[in-house]
Amino acid sequence: MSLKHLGNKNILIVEDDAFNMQLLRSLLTKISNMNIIPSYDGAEALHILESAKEKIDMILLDIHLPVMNGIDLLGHVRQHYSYEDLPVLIISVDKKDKADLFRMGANEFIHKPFDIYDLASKISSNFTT
Amino acid sequence: MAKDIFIHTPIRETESVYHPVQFKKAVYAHLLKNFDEPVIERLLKTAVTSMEGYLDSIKKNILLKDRKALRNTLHALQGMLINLGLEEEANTAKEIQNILKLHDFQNINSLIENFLQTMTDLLKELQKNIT
Repeated sequence: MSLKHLGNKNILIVEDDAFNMQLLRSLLTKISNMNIIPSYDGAEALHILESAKEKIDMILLDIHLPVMNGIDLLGHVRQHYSYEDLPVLIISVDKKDKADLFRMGANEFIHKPFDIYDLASKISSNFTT
Repeated sequence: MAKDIFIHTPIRETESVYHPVQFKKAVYAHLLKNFDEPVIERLLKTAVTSMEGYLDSIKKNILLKDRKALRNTLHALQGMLINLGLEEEANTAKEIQNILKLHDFQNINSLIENFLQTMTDLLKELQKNIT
C-alpha cells in the first residue's frame, strides 16, 4: 500500500488535537511523498487556502475546531471550489452528520480510529489525476 | 416536567477493561500496527501533553459548571482515546457527553469522577519512561 505514485501533492490537514495531527502526519509520511500542511483551526486553514503560493490539492478536515468549525470552513470552501477541484475529506468520530456534510459538499469520510488502508484508499480515490 | 423523564435514567459506573499498568501495553500494541518504537515514543509524548491539557480543562469546566465546554473537551479527548486504541474509554467519554446534554452535573458526579481517575491513571502510565 502506497500513495507515492501521487507525487508531492499538497494536503492541508485541519485538526485541532495535536496527537491526532501527528498521527495523521506519521501515517501519511509512511505511505506517501505528499507535502503536509498542518492547521489547528478553521480560520487559520482558510487563511492558508487563500494565501498559499502553491495549490492545495486536498483537505483533511476535522469538524470540531476552535475559532471556525469544520462545517463553516467546508461552506467557505464550496463557495469557491467544485468537488473535483478540491476534495474535502471529513475526519470524524461521529457518523450522525454524514448525510448533511455530503449535501454540503464533503467528498468522503475518514472515521476515527484511523486505519492506514482506509486512509490510503480514500485519499487515492479522491484525487482526480 | 420533561426533565423528570431523565432523572431516573440508569447511569452505569464506568469500569475500565484495563488495569492501569496495562494501559500502556494496550496503546503500544495498537500503535505498533503501523509504527516502530521511535515514532511511537514521539506520538506518546504528544499524547501526554494533549491529555494533560484535556484533564486540566475537564477539572476547570466541572468547577465552572460549564457543560458545553466540558462536552467539547470530552469530544476532543474521545477522538484521541479512540486513536490510542482505547475504545472502551472513548465510549465512556461519549457516554458522558450524551448524559451532559440532558443532566446536570450532580447526576453524573460519580461517572465523571471515575472517568477522571481512569484518565489520570492512564496519563501516569503514559508518562513513565517518556524522555
